Amino acid sequence: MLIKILRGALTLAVAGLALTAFSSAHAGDYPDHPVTALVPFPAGGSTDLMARAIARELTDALDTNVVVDNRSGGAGTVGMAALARARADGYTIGVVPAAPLVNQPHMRRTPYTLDSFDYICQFFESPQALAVKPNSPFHSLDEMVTYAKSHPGELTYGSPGPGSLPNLAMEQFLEKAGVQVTHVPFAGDGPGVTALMGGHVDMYMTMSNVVSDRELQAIGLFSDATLDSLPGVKTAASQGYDMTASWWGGIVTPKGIPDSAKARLVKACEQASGTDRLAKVLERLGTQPSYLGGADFRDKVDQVSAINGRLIEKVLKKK
Amino acid sequence: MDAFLNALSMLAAVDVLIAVVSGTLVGIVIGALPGLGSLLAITMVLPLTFVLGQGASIALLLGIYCGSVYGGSLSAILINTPGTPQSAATVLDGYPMAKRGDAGLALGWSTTASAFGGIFATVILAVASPLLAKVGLRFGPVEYFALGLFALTCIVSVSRDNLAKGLIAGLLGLFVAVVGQDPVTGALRYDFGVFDLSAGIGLVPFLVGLFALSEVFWRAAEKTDPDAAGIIPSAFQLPSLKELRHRMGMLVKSSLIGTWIGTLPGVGASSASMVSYAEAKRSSRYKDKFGTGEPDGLIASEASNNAVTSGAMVPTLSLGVPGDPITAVMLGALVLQGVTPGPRLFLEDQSLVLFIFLMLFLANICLFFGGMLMSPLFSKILRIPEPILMGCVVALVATGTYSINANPFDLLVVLVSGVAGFLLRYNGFPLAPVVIGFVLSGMIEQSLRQGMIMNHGNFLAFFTHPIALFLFVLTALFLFAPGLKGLWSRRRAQGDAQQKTD
Repeated sequence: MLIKILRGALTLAVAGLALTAFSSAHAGDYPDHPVTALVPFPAGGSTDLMARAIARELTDALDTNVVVDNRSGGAGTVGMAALARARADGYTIGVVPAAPLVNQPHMRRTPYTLDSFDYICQFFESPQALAVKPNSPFHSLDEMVTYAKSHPGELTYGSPGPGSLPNLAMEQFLEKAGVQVTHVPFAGDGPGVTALMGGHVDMYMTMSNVVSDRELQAIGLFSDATLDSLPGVKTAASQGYDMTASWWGGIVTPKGIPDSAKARLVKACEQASGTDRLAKVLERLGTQPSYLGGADFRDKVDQVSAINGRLIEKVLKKK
Repeated sequence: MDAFLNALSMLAAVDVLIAVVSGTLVGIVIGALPGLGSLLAITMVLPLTFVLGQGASIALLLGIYCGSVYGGSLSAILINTPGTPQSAATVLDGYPMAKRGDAGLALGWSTTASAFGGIFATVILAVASPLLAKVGLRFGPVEYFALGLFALTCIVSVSRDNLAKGLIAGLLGLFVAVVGQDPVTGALRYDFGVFDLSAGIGLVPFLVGLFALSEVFWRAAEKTDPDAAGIIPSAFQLPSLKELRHRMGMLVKSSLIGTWIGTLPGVGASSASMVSYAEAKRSSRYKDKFGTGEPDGLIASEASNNAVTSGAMVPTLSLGVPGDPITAVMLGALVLQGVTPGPRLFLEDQSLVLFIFLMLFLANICLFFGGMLMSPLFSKILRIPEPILMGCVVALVATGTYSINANPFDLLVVLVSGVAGFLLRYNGFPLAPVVIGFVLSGMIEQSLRQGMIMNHGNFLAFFTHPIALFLFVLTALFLFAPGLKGLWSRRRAQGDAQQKTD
């Protein structure tokens, strides 16, 4: 009897081992269970809505469920830290806008660096625009710059927060134009745009979609080409200020995921970024699909991180 | 008129009606569970809106929103823990009422006040929303600072027993909220090199720990007399018509305050109930009884926080600017439904705007009957043996808090603030001022510093803003009037005493 049980147990164990070997031999069949997409911002925000849209496309492209998991806090750094800590098996990916990658590490000690991640792809980008308050006397960047030159520090501009992408983009512009405009940081676009609409600040730097949705007047668009959604708004370059600035981001994973998983993810992301359905949702959210491969995405992150790191030192840490 | 008929036909669909009723009921339950708030309730059903049609999605979201704000008052009254941050001021008079044995009546009042506030605000909005949106724009940083300062004065009213301890508790709350990133320079404050602290102390874990967990500790520490332990819950009891008429002024005023504050972007229902409570405490006929289970206090908090739900839809719809984090999620959901909120919405899609108002109206009616049907159920909670009830509370707050962000650090915050809350109570410090300070701290600091930047460091310029000046005067009146009166009566009492000894 005892022997029978032992033999049974042994058979089971062998079968188990065989199964394990079998499944590990097929680890190449990534993904064989649902993938978690960490989003470092709260549910309902624009990052979240976008992440949910790309998750739906990835679900089709990977043929497994991609489940969004919001880990907000600390301007995105809490979620990024969780992502860096996650197991690098390809089953945890992050859908992240650029700020927690390129800005926050310069502002606080984050438990991650740019090297903590593998870069899969960039899939969205929308240019920033400089909006002015209702009945503003300024109709072009030059008019504003000329006024600011003779009245240093008198004009004010708002941004969604200190060290946010629009804050740094505006500082980069002001540095280029060689003028002083006072920065008034707000807690997000909600209060900030309202303050602009009420005329409490003179200008507000934000994403172009915010400008078109709220019917704000803009005097400069920081992209290579004009936008259909903002008729009559000239690019900064065409007004003599050669710079672009955008809100952008993509998919990253913890460092060191298996090559097969990485290849599969890259392919899925490229496929997902090209669908009409994603384009439609992103358009509703005021941004556009814009695909960059992993290496290019990484290069862009490095580049912007260097520029913003310098600006953060100059603008935020001087005091 | 066409728009109205269109809106009515949208409303008459079966799925829309089912969505608004079930949304409200689910909202009440989630709101009543401590730690699970409106935000969680809405985000939980967000995936459903991908499947439901536009009308049903909006109905579901609005139902959940209204229901959850009301639901928070149930646990505030019954277990001394605001189910949602919006009901923090409800605890102040709701729980003493329940303790006194008037739980049923307290529930009746909170249900009546909530439904009244919600419906009242909806009616005002339907009429005045484009106008209100314009007035909201006049609020800049200086005005927000003045408003925040005024709201802070309710610390004085909730710490009647010991003003000094109340102020210390308030300062503590103001200070705890300072941890994290500086809103102006982005520098980190008081993070002690701990990464998790750099994100600041979360409102939900802090509140849940401070109230719910400390209540558990408190009851565990108390030597309960088995005879006197249970509060005998009375059945759900609506206030009499005579009482209702008697307190109609308070209902209307609190609803107005809630509506108004709701229309200000970024202030939210938690601050609204505080402001309304402070105002009621200043002007109520029964102001001396505030904090001891006075229905006026309950009305002030509940009518206003439910009025906010409708009020907050104004900037959300007309400016595309959400009034609080909850409407921010709503805004996102609306965008996904193909609705683009903004000034254009009122011109181009009036039937949709009307539909939203009708839904708010309906949700508040559901809330009234839902509350009536469900609060006896919640009253029964009190009959559960205390150790079991408290055990459930611990499990609930832990899972509830963790579910929001899956961040173990939040649980640590719950535990630490629970212990801190217990120690504060043990030493006679009131807890409410801590929350008031915590909730208002961010708004006050940011708007003060923005105002200083915009006025080039000249604080006196703040007084040139008429709205702000008005609020400053109101604050000063509120702060010093009771003090002066107290001084006056003490003098007289002293005089009397002296005469007697003479």
